[in-house]
Amino acid sequence: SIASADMDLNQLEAFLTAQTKKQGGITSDQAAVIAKFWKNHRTQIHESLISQSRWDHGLKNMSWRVDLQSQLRHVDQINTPVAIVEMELGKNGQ
Amino acid sequence: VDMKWKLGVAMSSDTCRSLKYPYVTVTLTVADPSGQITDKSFEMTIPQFKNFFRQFKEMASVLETV
Repeated sequence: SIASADMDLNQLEAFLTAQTKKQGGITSDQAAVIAKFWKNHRTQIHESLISQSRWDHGLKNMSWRVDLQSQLRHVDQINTPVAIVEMELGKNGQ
Repeated sequence: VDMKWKLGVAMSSDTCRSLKYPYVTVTLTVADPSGQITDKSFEMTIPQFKNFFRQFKEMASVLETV
């Protein structure tokens, strides 16, 4: 619930307090441990959840170079600078 | 041949109710040497997009000085 809602500290405190008051809920020591864990790992957990919802191709790598085309067979173009870009696209793990 | 972009924010998903994840999607229309046209789409996080933009800015600067 905490991760799914990406709770900030206020929401976290309110949520954990409510959990300690529930019957069969957590102790205040447990609440403190959970709070500490969330504070320390919130960003990593959120980023991990984000990466789980990225299904399309991502840009894995990109390299480029600039060439100076001196001459083309059928076209009278000399000294034209051209940028050549190579992009590596892939899905998670590919 | 062509380049299209869009900026989106993923609000929620089945694994996370509060995603709030901004991203840029780019679609490049490319022609291969045989002339066949295909669309290639990919998604970037904002830091990835900033790097993407920086690379192209560098390329533009080199193109001007060559």
